[in-house]
Amino acid sequence: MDLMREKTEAEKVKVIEAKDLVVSYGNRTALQGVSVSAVEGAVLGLLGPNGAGKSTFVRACLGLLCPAAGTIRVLGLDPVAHGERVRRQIGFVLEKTGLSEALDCRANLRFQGEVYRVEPGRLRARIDELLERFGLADRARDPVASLSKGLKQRLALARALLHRPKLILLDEPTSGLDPAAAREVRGLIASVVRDDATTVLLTTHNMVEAERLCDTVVILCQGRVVRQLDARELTGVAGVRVRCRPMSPARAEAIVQLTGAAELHQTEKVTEFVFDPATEPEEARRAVADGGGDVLEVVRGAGGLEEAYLSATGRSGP
Amino acid sequence: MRDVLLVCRKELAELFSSHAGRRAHLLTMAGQVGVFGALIPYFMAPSWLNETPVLSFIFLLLPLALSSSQSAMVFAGERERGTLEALLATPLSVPALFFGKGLAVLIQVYGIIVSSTALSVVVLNLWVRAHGLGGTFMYSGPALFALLGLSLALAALATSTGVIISLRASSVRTAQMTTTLLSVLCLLPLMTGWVTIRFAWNVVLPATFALFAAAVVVTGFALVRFARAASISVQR
Repeated sequence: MDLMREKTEAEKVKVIEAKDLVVSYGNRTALQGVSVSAVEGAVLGLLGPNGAGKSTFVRACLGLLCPAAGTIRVLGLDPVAHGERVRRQIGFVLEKTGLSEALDCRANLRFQGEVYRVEPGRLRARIDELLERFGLADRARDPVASLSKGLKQRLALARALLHRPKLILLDEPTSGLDPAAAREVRGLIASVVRDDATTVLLTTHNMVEAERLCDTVVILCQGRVVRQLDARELTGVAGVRVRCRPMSPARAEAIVQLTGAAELHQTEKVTEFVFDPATEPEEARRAVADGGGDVLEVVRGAGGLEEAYLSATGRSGP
Repeated sequence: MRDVLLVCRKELAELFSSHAGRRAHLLTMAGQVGVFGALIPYFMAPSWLNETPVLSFIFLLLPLALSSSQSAMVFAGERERGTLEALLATPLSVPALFFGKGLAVLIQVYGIIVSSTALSVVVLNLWVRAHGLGGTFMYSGPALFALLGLSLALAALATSTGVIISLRASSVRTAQMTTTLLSVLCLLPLMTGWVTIRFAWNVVLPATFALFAAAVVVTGFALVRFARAASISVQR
C-alpha cells in the first residue's frame, strides 16, 4: 500500500523556503543570510530577542518586504512577484491585529471573508462556526473596541482561519496578554495546529510556547540563524532534568537503566538525567537518589530550550 | 473595482456601525445639511435667488472644507492606529485601499452637497411663497451644474489633497488643522471679492473640466505618496 503510506520529511512540500535571505531597512540589515524552511503541516517557531528579525521574516513571507539578496518562496511562489496569489492563501495575526475597532466581531469576519472571496453562501456558516469555536458567539454583535486584549487576539485568530489558509503566520500572538489570556490563546493555537492541519509559522519570545507548539524551533539573533532544533531535540530538551554531582559513566549508565531516564548528559561539573516531561519532578529526584546519585537540583519544563537559547544567543534571557 | 467597493463599504460601515458613532455622525451630517441647505439660503435668500457670487463661495467652501478634513481623518487615522500593515498583508492592492477609502470620503461629502442643494431649493421656494413673490424657484442650468458637477470635481481634488497632507502630518489633528487652513487660503480671493464667479456656461464648464483634470493629476500623485507611505509603515 505504497499510496497509503505517510509522506516522509523529504517528500513533504516546503511551504516556506528561505535561502540566504537578506532583508534591509535602509542601511540597517534585519536578516543576514537566513536559511529556513517549513514543511506542510508543521509548526515552525522563530524564537529570538527583540530586533532579532522575527517580524521581518514574517513580512518577507507576506511579500511586504523585498529581499536585498537570497530567495524566499512561500507555497512555491515568490511572495513579492506574486503577492496577491500568495497572500490569498495565508492567514495571519500580526503584532497589531488590524481589526476594525468600530465594527463588531461578525462584521470584522465578514469583511475578511469578502476580501478573501469566501463563497457568500458558506461565509455565514463559517463565521458562526469560528465564533462558536473561539468562544465569541455571545460577543458577536459587540464592537471590537469593547473586547479585552485576549478576546481581540481570539478574534484575530478566528479571522486568520476564516478562509481556510494553507499557511498561518502568527507574529507574537500572546505578546502583551496576561498569563491567563496568553494560556487561553496558546490553547487555541494548539487546537488550530491539531485540528486544521495547517502549516504554521509562529514567532515568539516565549520558550514554553515554542516548546509546546512547535515541531521545529529556529533561534534568531541579530538577523542570523544561530540554532535550529527539530522535533526530537525539542522533545529532548523539554523533559524533567535531575542534575547531580559528577559520577563515573558506568554508575550514570546504571542509574539510567534503573530509572528509565530518557537522556544522560555528563560534563566535568555535572551529570544530568533527563526524564519524560510527564514525570513528576519529585519522583525523578527520588529515583536518581535511590540509584546513588547526589542530586543538586531538579529542573522542569523549558530549562532545556532556555539553555539552548542562552548558549546560542549568548544572552541572559530573551 | 470589486475590492475598491469592498473597502469603501467597510469605511462607511465603520462610520455608521456603533450606536454612539452612528448618532454622532448622523447629527453632524444633518447639522451640515441644515446650515448649508436651510439656514444660509433662508437668511441670504435674495443673494441665492439672484445667484450672486455668495452662492459660489458657500458651495465651494462645502466640498473643499469637508473633503479635505474627512480624508485627513481617514488616512492619517489609519496611520495613527498602525493598522495599515494588516490591510496590506491581505490580498487587497494598494490602489484598491486608496480608492476605496477615497470613494468613501467622496460619497459622504457629495451626499451632503446633493442633500444641501435639494434642501436649499425647498427652503428658497418656501421663502418665495412667504414673501408673496409668486412662481417657483429653481437654479439656472449653469448654477445647478456648478453645484453638482463643479463641486464633485472640487471634492475629488480636495480629497486627494487631504490624503497628501495627512500622509505628511504627524497626527489626525495636525492634518485637519492644515487642511482647514488651506481651505481658508483657497477661498480667500472669493471672501475678499478679488475673484468673483459668474454662473454662466462659459465659466462653469471650463472651470469644472480644469478642476477634474487637476483632481486626476493630484490623485495620481496622492496614490504614489500613499504607496510609499504604506511601504514605510511596513518598514517601521
